[in-house]
Amino acid sequence: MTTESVAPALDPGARDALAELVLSLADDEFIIGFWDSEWTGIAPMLEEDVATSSIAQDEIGHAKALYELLAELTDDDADRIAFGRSIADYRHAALLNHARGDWAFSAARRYLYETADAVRLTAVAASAHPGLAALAGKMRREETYHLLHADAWLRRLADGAEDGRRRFAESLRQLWPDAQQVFAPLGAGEGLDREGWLPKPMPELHAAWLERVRPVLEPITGELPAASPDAGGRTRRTDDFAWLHGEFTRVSGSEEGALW
Amino acid sequence: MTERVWEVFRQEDEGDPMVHAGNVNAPDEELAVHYAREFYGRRGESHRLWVVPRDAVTELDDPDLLKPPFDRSHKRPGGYIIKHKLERAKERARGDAT
Amino acid sequence: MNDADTIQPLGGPQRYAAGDADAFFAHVGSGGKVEADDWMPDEYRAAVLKFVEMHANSELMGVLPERDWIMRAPNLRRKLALTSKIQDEVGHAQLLYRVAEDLGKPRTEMLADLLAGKTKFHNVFHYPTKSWADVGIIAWLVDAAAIVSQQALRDSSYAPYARTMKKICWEESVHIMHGRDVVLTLMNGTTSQRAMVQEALDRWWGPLMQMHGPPTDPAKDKDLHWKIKSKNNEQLRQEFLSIYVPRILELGLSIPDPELRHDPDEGRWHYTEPDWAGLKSVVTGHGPASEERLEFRRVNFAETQWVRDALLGSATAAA
Repeated sequence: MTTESVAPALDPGARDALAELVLSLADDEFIIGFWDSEWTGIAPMLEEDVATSSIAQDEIGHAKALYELLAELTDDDADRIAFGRSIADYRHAALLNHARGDWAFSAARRYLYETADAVRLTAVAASAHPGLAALAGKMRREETYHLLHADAWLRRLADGAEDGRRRFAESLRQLWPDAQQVFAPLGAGEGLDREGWLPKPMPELHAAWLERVRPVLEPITGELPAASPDAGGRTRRTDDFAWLHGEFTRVSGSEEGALW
Repeated sequence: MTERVWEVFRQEDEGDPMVHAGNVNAPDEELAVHYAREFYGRRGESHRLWVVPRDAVTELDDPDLLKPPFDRSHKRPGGYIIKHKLERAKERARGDAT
Repeated sequence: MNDADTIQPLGGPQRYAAGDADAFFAHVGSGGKVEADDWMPDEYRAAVLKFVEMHANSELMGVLPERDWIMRAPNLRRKLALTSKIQDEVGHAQLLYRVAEDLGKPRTEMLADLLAGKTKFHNVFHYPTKSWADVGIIAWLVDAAAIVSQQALRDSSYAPYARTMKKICWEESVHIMHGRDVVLTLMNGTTSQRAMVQEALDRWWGPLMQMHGPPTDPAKDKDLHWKIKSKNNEQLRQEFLSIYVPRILELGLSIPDPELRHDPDEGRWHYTEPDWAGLKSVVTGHGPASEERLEFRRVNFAETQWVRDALLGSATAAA
């Protein structure tokens, strides 16, 4: 791993900035992976069940790789970071605060997330941190399928029966403000810029994403309101997330020091 | 539901033959390809897939056409048994040489 | 010239003409295979369909006990493995429903019959789960008992089923490793983790012993006769015990059956007679979690009906 040679050279400020970026990426993948995995066994068709579960597993796999990178940077343990924090310490975007909802809601969120993630990953793949850049490059290969799949569902729901179209449009409108928060400013914004960890600033990525999705979504939803990323976009938490946190810490947090 | 059945063929590795893997239900070709990938490739076990609507497959399984009753051994390498003939020929050749 | 005498004619099992049931049964009885499009007697078709449909139902319902833990998986590796395992079971349900569909019963009808309680699924999936150790015991021992049956089906006279079983057996072997790894980790862990495994084993042992069904008279078992399956219930149970009893005991676990012992002279295991009336009651929908599981499926199926409708609507519009 290239981080071995890079990590010792990092000064604490640069390292903290990198760690914050990696944590935000990891938490996004971890939480969406958990929500979408809940469809396993109960998706609308058996074939679709298997497809959705694969995508959820890919997201968890990406989260695992990112947490491992973070654990190297901060001399911690990937599972401890993933499962061992209190609710307030998670840094996923507000988009991922909601339970899976119905199939339209999950499909709407996946479309919003996958497109935002694609824009973000393109930038991260050019990161000055070689370990992170290489990892983002690998993630993008798997995200190709995720985008195709999310897009296939968007077209089917948007062009299908009235009931599905209505549910899908409503979900998109409901999630729209929270979707912006994938690009919420990180505390270490300047540090990321200075070190080149994220070679393009968040506002630029946000604008690129808007340019891409508005023309696709507005024929379905009608005009979407102006909405922007805000400073609390990765720290606001909901009851849904508190429930999820209770679930995924139920076994892992049940006995101090036990391995599972 | 009026979902269609799609037959899936897979090539395990580059250069291998395409072998029938199984089938999936899907309402259209695009989802059929997604689902074929899931069912016959999600473990990285395939190099290539062919996805074919079942009604595009024409079957022939009539034994009168495929397994005709008369001897076809002249069409198969195993149909030529040369061991004894070869021995006799070699013997004869040795005899000629002396 | 006698060369021609040594050439073997084209061989293979006895052929049969469409409509000739006697010749058909002679064909399958002599190891012959049947494909979906081949002519087959109605009673054979019905027997294969019933067998495969129950297997498919079991895979689909078998998803639910483990799914109780999908949001509670305690670390990244287990989260991946458990999700993947449950996904495989859904995949198996699809593969088996496809085999059954090609025998003439549409998937929607099979699902409707399952939800209405008209068709059955395996006894082990009628029980609730209580702890993380259940995830290990199910993946290790329930899957092990299942794979013993499934391996014997790779030879089924109904060829599409036999091919599917080959694929499924390969996937199940991964599940057993995952389950055994979960159990081993707990057994090497704390006192309460070990107690959790023992408690789970105590609960699951009875259903495991019932899982292959009561001994049947092989002479009367048509599925055996027609080579839809190749081993009887008691053979499968004995095989399971031979492989897994030693593997359970070597971990320091105890098996909750004082009568369980292997008789080397007879070459078979003795055990307390399982409660066969209880088994019948469970598989006919009166198990401790039968109604809850079916109701969960009914609710989810109803909630996603609009998606299936929307999808077919858009496919029709595009066509």
